[in-house]
Amino acid sequence: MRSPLLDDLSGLDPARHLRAPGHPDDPALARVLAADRTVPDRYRAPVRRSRTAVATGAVAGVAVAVAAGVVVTTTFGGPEAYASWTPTPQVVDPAAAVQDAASCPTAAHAVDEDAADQGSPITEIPVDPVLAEVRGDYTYVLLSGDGALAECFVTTTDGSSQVYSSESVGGTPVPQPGPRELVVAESGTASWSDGPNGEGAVTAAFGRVGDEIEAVTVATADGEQVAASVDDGWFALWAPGEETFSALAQVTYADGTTEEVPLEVRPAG
Amino acid sequence: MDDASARERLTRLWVDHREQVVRFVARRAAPEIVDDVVSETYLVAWRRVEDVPTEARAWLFGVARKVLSTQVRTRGRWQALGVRLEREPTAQVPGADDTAAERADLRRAWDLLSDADREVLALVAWDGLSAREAAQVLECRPSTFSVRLTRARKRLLAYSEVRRDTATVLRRLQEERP
Repeated sequence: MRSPLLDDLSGLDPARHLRAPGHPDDPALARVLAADRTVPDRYRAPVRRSRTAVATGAVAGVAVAVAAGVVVTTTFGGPEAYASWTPTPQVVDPAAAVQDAASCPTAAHAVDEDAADQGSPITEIPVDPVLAEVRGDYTYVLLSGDGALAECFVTTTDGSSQVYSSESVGGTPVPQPGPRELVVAESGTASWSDGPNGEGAVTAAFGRVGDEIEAVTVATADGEQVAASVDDGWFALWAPGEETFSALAQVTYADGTTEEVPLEVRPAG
Repeated sequence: MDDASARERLTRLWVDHREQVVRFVARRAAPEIVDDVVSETYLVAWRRVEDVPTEARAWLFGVARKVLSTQVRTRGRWQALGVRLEREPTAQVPGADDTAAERADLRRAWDLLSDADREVLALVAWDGLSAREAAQVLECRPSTFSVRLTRARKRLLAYSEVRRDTATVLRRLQEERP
């Protein structure tokens, strides 16, 4: 079915970096479940017209881990979205940041589809904070566990804390970078605060850096230089907007030299 | 199906497929309506939970497509869904390599395709559906879908060979069509 042409086309997919995992505790799911199930819907369900009853594709026997996460919806309102955001972060102690934001996740959730019929397909993977930064009213915490990564985004725009978080489980482990190497674990637009009631989408990137990398800077679509947080072998940055980062990051090494490197997740192997 | 079973089933559909549905919708709709369309899709699934097949992804995509079509029908452009394309890179890399050039060719070719061709290609290249699943989403026979996919793929390939200036002229002519 697929051809090299279609594979190339996948590189233009506008949603390939979009992360929006579903979690049993999502408020949006709770709202659906609270609706009256007996009211007829307006949309006729698609009818399977094929008479072929044979399912195609073998089911892989390997446990399939998918991302799961929590998106706590909130209402910001106001025309000045992310007004207090700063292109340069203040790096803070990750453990203290998580303590301040009690709702940040302490575990990621792996879903084993093959075990779905056995009653307990979800496995919790503990995650610990590895990096935290503050930009205006927004605190961003990166958490890492065994084969799991999580992000926690805490806002205090309206005076009270609102917490968004997302998890990534089962992907290729982030390799240990060489001394002058930057490894991007994830880069893309998050849907945390998108939608009519949020402040709008944000684009985030994070990963690991070698010992000789002291700073990482990325330009936005507006030409603004956004400094990443670099701490203890990790880096992270985020900025308001959808797919807003340029393709290259500028890294500054301990010897004062700089280099431009791709800000992209490299395939394993 | 009793209420507890229905809740369990819908929750499973949410955990297993929500991200796929969000991506499906985000490829076809403005960001500000994605959450609403996804919620509406799952509301339909909730009310028809007994009808949801075991292989639920294509069924959910089909519902999302209908929800989307209803939401954008008032804009008067609905036979096929207008599939969004990744935005142009904001920073061009100096001395762009062949891969970037090929991507630019592909982007121009995509611009020249009809909405119907784009939708057929997107269901396979982006949404990762088989011909059988994609046919379910579009409510046509798998054989019909395969023919449409082959034709769309040939057109994409042909358009990717078109020179940049020629492509610009062609696109303008298409835009001027009633």
